Amino acid sequence: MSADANALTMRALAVLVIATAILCGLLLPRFLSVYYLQVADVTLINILLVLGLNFILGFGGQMSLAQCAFFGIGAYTFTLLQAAGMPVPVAAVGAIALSAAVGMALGWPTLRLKGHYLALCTLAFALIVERLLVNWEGLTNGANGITAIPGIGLAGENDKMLWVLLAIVAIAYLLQVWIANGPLGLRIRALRDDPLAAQAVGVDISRLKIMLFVISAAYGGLAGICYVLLRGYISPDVFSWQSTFSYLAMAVVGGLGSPLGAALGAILYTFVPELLRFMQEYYFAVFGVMVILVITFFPAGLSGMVISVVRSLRRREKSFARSDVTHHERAA
Amino acid sequence: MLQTFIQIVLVGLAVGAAYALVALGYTLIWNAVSLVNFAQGDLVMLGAFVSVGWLANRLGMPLWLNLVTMLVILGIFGAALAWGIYHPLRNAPQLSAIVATLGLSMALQNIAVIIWGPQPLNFAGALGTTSVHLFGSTIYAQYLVILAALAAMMAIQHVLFQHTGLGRAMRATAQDAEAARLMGIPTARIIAFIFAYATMLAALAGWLIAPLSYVSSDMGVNLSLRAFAATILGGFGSIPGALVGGLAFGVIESAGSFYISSEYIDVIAFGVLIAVLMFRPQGIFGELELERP
Repeated sequence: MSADANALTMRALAVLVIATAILCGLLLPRFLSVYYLQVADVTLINILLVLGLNFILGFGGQMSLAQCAFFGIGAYTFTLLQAAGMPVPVAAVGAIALSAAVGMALGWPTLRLKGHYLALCTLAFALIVERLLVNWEGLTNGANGITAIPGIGLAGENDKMLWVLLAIVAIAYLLQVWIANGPLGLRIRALRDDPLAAQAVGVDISRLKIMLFVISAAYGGLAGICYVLLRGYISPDVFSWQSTFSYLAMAVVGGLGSPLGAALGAILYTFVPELLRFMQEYYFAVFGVMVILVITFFPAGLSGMVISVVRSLRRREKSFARSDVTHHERAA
Repeated sequence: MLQTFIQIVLVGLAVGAAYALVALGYTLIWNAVSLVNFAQGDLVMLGAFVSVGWLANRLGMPLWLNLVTMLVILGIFGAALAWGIYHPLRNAPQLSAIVATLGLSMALQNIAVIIWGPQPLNFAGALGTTSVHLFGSTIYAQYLVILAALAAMMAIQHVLFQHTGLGRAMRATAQDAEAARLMGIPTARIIAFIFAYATMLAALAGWLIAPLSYVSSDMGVNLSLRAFAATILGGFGSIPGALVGGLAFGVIESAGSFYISSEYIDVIAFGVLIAVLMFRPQGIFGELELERP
């Protein structure tokens, strides 16, 4: 019964997400200049990164600060594999696979760490990856980065890239909802809320944590590929460990553990400052303060606010139809 | 050969002393309220900017007055952080508090740019780039000032913690805030004091290293990351751990960049750190905060 209900909402959500994506694809190029279209593309890549971070941080409750490292590994692997003569799909699969493998390699030894220890360990890893991208000049061309990457030949064509990115992000979004609503999602939330109890009922939390690292890293790697396709060039500063904090801020302001939150957070962080150019130098100061205020007053983030508003509206509708159940629902 | 070695160790210790000052701040706050303030490095930056941008360049204060005024301003700021950030979040999950301090870090860096502009500022301090000869090696005199300042701070802190009522209340709050409150200690005010003191330590570090580098909005980021690493190396929550961890991390960096590679110094230093976390996560002096694998 409830599985049926889940399947139904999943289907409805899929329709909604795909419709939104198509609508964005049709409308954005009409209303946005070339520059803002590129900002929209970057926003989509950020959504992908925050969705990835969501798995490990939002659902799993594990403080990972390594998302930018997987972003970089994905981008560089894709570029180098392509430079080595591999066709695009092979290079893409290779890049995602390597990101995921590195995610596993990081997840396995950090299993015992939690809280600040895990945060620092993943941060140190991100910093090491960034230093390697800068200094391993034979492989990465150092601080100059790599230019003229063929990709799929759409670099700079922001309107066409928009469709590609919308498709990828829509699939990644739905995949996250599907995982979160499935049996795996149940186990992941059990891990976050009470690891001990989860273990007691037979959840293999070590395997689960590694799996979260792997999925999260794969999303990061995919975002890296998207970045290469969009820009056609890469340099290490894009994948700086400090940008992890931005993704974290997006995830938290949007609402941890919510795909909708990932989207809202990334849009707010990436797109809004461009529209509010007049206050741009103040924007990130304001955003920092906003992170603190959201954490303090709306721990569930923007998506939590949206969801509670939608719920209260729906409740009101229902209360007109069946006023006798309102009280019961409110209690629930 | 020996001279070079002495020079490397002295520079490492001096840089490590700055890490240690910041790491002490982490440790004190951690002991009091189990929070890591990721904006600690930005307090370093803020201290340097207030001192250089306002008190020195704008008001032309003499150096000692500059230092004292700056410490007072930053102390008040630290107490305000306790009320504004820690207090509302004291019952929230650890993750929320971490992210709130990251938000604070982002806000402070950008506010600094708004106030003092994007151009880095110069600060000569008392000694500028005066060098001294010691055991046949040459180093900046400012390095010795940093080491002396750390020693002085340790002495002051010892007296404060062991011989004053405030210090006893701080220690009691750090050990068990709930019990301290029941014994009639105004823990909220004491926690504000601890935040103020930790902020002053960070700001002092900023004031001390300013003559050796530029004063810029991102100067605190690297320092705080290293101080954080030092805290974990020494063992979270241990005051001697913060000291030893800071100094050790400074020397590891200094020696690594000379003997192995200056380009890969971060890779080496943080590689060492990850290794420590793997095999002895409680650090040198710390207690265990682990999960079963």
